[in-house]
This record gives sequence, structure tokens and C-alpha cells, in this order.
Amino acid sequence: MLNVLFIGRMAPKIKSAQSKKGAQAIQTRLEAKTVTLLGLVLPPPIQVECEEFTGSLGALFLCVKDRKIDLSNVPLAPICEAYFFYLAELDSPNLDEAGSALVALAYLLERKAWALLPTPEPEPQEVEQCYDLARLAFDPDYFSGAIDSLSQWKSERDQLYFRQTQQTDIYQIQHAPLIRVRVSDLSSAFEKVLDRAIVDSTLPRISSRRSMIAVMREVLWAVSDRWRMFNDLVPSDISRTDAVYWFLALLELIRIGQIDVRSESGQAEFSRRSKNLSAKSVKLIS
Amino acid sequence: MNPLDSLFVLLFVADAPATLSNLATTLCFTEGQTEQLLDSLASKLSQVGPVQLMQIGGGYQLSTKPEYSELLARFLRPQPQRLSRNLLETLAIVAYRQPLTIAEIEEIRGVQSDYSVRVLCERGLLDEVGKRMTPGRPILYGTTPDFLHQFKLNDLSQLPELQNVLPFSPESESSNGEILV
Repeated sequence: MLNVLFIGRMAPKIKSAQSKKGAQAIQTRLEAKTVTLLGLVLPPPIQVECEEFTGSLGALFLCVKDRKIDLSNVPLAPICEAYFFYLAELDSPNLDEAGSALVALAYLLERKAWALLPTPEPEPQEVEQCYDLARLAFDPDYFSGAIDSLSQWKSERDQLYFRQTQQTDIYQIQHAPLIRVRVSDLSSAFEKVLDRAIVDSTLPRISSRRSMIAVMREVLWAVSDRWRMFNDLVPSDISRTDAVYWFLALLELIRIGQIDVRSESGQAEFSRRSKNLSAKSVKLIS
Repeated sequence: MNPLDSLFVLLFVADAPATLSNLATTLCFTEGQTEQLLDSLASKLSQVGPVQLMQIGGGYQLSTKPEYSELLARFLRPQPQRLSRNLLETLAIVAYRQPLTIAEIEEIRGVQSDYSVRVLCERGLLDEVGKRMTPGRPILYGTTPDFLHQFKLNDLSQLPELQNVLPFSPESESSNGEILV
């Protein structure tokens, strides 16, 4: 039930005598604040009483502006009628006061209109058919279940033995005869390369290092059918780290029988074992 | 010849998983009949003998029973190929999301992953399966049949379902760019 009164220049309508002082203080404080919001002029003393709100038009305006009450349950038509009554009753209405009330009413009507508009329901989000990569990136344990399962299956699988396929494993030693070649011959060959190798930069590497398989292919490509020393095989601008990789690859190729080594007057020489072997055609891994 | 024994000898000499169609063609049976024979053989082997019939890597293959693993390990001295958690993580991501590029793996993991991918490729668990038709033509990686074999899987559908992760759908890949094989 709404009760709207235009009370002219009278004091605001107060229901309880006990709370008169306190209510007046609140009203004054609210209206003092309303003054600044509405342009230094108080709206006319239109008193509104309903279930949701009791107070002046200025206080209603302020409460709505601060989102303290729900305007959808406050009927505005009687307030507008009271405003018209106020305009009609006064012989010489204060235009500033009337304008201030008009601003307040316009604001309230606009807010009420927006409040009455149907709220659009949020569109159902389409289920993505792929992983949300960004979400996964923040959850390191996303695949933990799968990792645990894979780990368990791997250990179970390791207990089973199947008939072996006819594959040549890189780590299967075909032959490794180092006849008349001493370890010192190999080490001196490596030292010669290491002496002339460029010192590595202390800066972090931009690109990732190649795998040993790739280096082994490179070494096998460099080794020819004729006997050559390790110093002649490596590139002229090789770095120390790469020299180590090259030497390890060379040793591995000797171990798996793809490179032969001999010692001529204390100098280790290397040659490709299979004369018709092409480095690209060599299958280093099974 | 007993059909069950015929099937057994075929599986005995096979050094890779034998497919159902291949077995059926060789035995001159229908696939349904061959499947029944495989079931009979599997139940027979599970009861007696040191070998068992396994459905693995998209086919059927005989393997030793787990209780003989210690004995066989002493005899064959296999080189243990351990997979670190980083490698398993990369492998799991590729298994669920394949085919995908290294950049996508790194986006999921949040760390550089080219080394992990390279190691997994060298171990034959991952392989290049094509290139994405996007700028740079990045290489797409996927799991190999050896991955299924090494993890006792018959196909990728046996991978465990992850919470809140939708199953892999190849159709979704078309939106990201055509795959150039």
C-alpha cells in the first residue's frame, strides 16, 4: 500500500514520537547529501510511504542511486501524481525545486524501466570439443591420473616377454675389436681436436642441443672410405662441447661396428667400415 | 589339423601383434569364427601353460605370464628403459590430444618440451604424423603402434578417462588448420 503526500513546507511525516529526533537527523543527513547530488537544490517535500521505503523523494532518490532498495516494488505513478499536485497547488512554484524533483523522478523512472525489462538469460556455453589449453596450463596435475596409469601399465608390461622382432638395436654390440689401437692413441686424437676447438660461450644456448643420434649421423657422414685422423674429420670451427659430442659419437660408432679404427705410428685413424654405406641410409636406431 | 592348434602356431611364430583379419584369412575362417577360436585359446592358455594370449597393439600376440618375469629377466638381461615423470607427462598429453605440435605441448605443460618429444621419438613412442597448415608448418606428433605395445594397450580408447577432459575428437582438429601429411 503506497501513501504519497505532498506536505508543503511542513516537517517530514514521522510516525513515532519517540524516534522523532533520530528520524529527523537521518532525514536531514540524507537530504543534505541529496542536495549535492541534485544540484544544490532540495526536491519538494514529497513524502513516500510504502512497504519498501518510507521517506522523502530526495531520500528515495539517494537510496535508489546507492542501490540500497529494490525499486521494482515501489510504484512511481502516485509519486508522479503527487509531483503534479505539488505543481498545481503552488501559486508560484520554485522552478529550481521543481526541476530538482523532475530530475529525481526521471532518474527513478529510468531505473524502474530498466528494472522491469526482462533479464536476458545467459546463453548456454557450447561444449568445446577440444581441450582448454589455457585451463590445462594452470593445472599441472591434470594428467596425473593418466601418468600414474601409464606408469603402472609400463611396469606391468615390463614383466611380459614377447617374441623379439628382427630389429637391430643400436646398443647391441656387433663387434668391437680394437686391434693394435691403444687408448692413448684415441685420447691423443681427442686432445688435438680439443686444443684447437673454440671455447664455448658462457651465455645460455638459444637452441636445444641435438641428440647423440644426430651427432652420430653427422660423424658417419664426415668419415670417408679412406683412413683419416679425427682432427681432419671435425669442422674447423668446432666448439669444445661439440668436440666432446663428436668424440663420444665416434666411440659409439666404433662400438657398434660402423667405423673402423687403426693406429699408424701412434696416430689413430678412422674409416667407414661398410664402403657402400651412405650416412643417410644408415639406420642407427631400430 | 585342429583349428585351435593352427591358431596357436600362427601366434607362436608371430613377432608382432596379428590382426583378426590376417588370422582369419590365413586360417580360411570368418572373423567371427576366428574370434571364437581366439576366446577359446585365451581361456585355455590362461588355465595351463606359461604363455598367455593378449590383445595388444591392435592385434593378438602370445606373451609369457608375469610369474615368469624374474626367470626371463635373469636369462635375457633386458636393458631397462625407464621413463621419467616428465617424459610420461609429455607422452600422456600427446596420447590424449594427438596430433599436436610441440608448441601446444609446451602450452599445456608450461615448460619447454622439445627435448622430451625428441627422446620419446628416439624411443619409438612418438612419431611425426604430419604438419599443420598454419604459418611455419609446425610438425604434428602422435603416438606410434609401439606406444600401445609398450603400455599393454590395444587401442587409444583404453586410456583412462580424465576428469573434466573431453575425449579426443579428430573433427576438432579441422578448425585449427588442415593437417598436411
